[in-house]
Amino acid sequence: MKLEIRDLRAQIDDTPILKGIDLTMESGQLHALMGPNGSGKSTLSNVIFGHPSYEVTGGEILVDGQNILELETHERARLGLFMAFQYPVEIPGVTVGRFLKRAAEIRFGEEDFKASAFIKELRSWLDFMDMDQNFINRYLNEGFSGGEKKRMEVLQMLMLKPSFAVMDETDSGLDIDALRIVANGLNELRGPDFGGMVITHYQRILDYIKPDFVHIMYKGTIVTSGGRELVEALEERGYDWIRKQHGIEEEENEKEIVHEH
Amino acid sequence: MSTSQKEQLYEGTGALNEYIHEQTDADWITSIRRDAFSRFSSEQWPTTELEEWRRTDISSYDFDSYAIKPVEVFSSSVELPDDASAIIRFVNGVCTGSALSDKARDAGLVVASLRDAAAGRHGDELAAVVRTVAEPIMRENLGNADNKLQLWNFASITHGVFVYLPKEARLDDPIYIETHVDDDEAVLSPYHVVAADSLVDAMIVQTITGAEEGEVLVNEGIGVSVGEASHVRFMAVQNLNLDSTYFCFGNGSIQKDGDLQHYLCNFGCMLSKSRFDCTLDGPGSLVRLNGLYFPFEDQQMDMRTVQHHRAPHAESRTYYKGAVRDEAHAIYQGLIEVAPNATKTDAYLTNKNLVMNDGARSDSIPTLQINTDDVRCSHGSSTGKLDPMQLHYLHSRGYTPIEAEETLLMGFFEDIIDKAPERLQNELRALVSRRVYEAHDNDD
Repeated sequence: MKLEIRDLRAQIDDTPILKGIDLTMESGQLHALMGPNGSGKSTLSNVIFGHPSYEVTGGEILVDGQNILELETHERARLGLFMAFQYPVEIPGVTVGRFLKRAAEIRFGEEDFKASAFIKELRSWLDFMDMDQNFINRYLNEGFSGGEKKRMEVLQMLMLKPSFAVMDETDSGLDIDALRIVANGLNELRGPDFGGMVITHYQRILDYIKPDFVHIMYKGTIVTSGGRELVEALEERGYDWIRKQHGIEEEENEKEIVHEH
Repeated sequence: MSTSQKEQLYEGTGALNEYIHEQTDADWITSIRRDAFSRFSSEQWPTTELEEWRRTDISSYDFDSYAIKPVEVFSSSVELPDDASAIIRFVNGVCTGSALSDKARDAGLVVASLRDAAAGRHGDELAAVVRTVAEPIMRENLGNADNKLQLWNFASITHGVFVYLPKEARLDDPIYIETHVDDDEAVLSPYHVVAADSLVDAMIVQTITGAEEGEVLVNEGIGVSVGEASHVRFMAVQNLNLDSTYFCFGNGSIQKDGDLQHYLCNFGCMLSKSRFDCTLDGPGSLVRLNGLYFPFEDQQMDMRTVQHHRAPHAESRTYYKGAVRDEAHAIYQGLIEVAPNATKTDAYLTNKNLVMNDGARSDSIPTLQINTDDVRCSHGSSTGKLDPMQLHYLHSRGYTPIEAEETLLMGFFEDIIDKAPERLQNELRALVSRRVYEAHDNDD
């Protein structure tokens, strides 16, 4: 799968956030998208998935040449796109097992779906993610800790085997053990048929997953892209270095735009 | 199948006296009819000035124009479903057959047409039992009847079931009462009696269904009596078409250490108004009143429950939960009433509503009347909307908008479905699911 983002512009409540994003990603590649708070990283992932709060004001997102901005969210998912949410919602009354069974049926086709194989696979991925088997019968994310919710996102990704996944700060709020488990999950999926974009503030997770490409986002644009060495430079010199390097003026009271829900 | 001679058409409530006169019933039933009729004649139809009727205006109904029609009487046999203790079926107000399992017969279960059994058409012995058991229940409930519709029901009883569970009758499998009405413009006035002696364990499942179209009016009465240390579950599934009207006034009384669960599943009718009024008569008794409703289009469902504590150390729990869609309107009124002697009462009532769109409405009116100290009574109600973020999450996993809505509704209803007997839960899920899809078909 080839995901091409071209001059993408988007706003929320009349505030422009994405100011012309260009990015090309493919299955087989792992991209890291870094940047300070409010730079528009989460907005980008939400726009890729048609989040109802954001309005696209220009540009296009092509999946194998098809502009997905014209598709409903579920149609985008059915192309093989997956998003690991920064703040996964709780869905009371709907068990993990039931929810994922339907999602798997959608992904792999009802004809080819085998319930017994599904359960077997779910159980083994639960083990892999160091999660208790009784999660199958728990209501989705209800009463889960922050770390459990993030693991649940990765578990879903393992089950649904997307062609391309966007992981929005899947590493935030995790202790080092959980971080390693989440990274293991992602590494397990890597291969020619899987592509991903990891959105993160921190270099930490990138010690466990080695991205092929790194992009730095600042104030709604991608200011620089490079390889893994960019992570180290950023870690050493901080975002100020990026700012100076690219001649970006720091604003007084720089606006933090955080939209959790 | 045999057809009886044409009976007379009793047009309007003006012909009610004549109707009563023409019926062949046990004397005591005729006497109940006459007493109800005399009060009926001097009573006014309920108006919106009464609190219980404030949100449901029935003034547009011309009840005098409704005719109790002659029905084609035929008999056919019904087959006992798998895993059932008994079944009895009424079609357009006529009992078309019943069947009992061997185990139920051995336990002494009686499931019969109330009027036929009372009139001795199944033998004098049974007629005597019906009188001993059913008359006091019906007399008491008639005595407490507080509106003209209820009196109309007693005066004009068209049919009904008599279920009797003798001492120590313990039946795992349900007793099915099926009421079907497909006669356009039919008016039915069923009265059902369910009486459990002591140490009984039983489950009743009552379904009311009809043709897809055609206006019918069902004005129903139910009397349930639960004896000492007995455990009775009563499920009622109302799924008449959207041209129809349903009134239901149910009463339950529970003796010492007895336990009654009444579970209303409300899906049908343009207008329905139901009340289930429970009296905890014995210490240690337990009542659970549950409701699941999902009106759409321009349906109106008005439901009331009463937890009437008259004995100490009794417990009652009401949990009604519904979703409202399109232009529909749901009304729930709940009352916990605690008598001065009912110390150590533990009563709770909860009502939760999901209002799915602007234009749909739900009113929730819980009330407590507590006439003693030393009780634990409280209520809670909540009204919510579908969460767009939950929908988005499901869409992001490939769920279509309708699948996502269905999934969230299933999740919403799950804890009330969970309170239904396990073997019926899938049926309830199917009813909810069907309603989501028929609502979406209308949208398209």
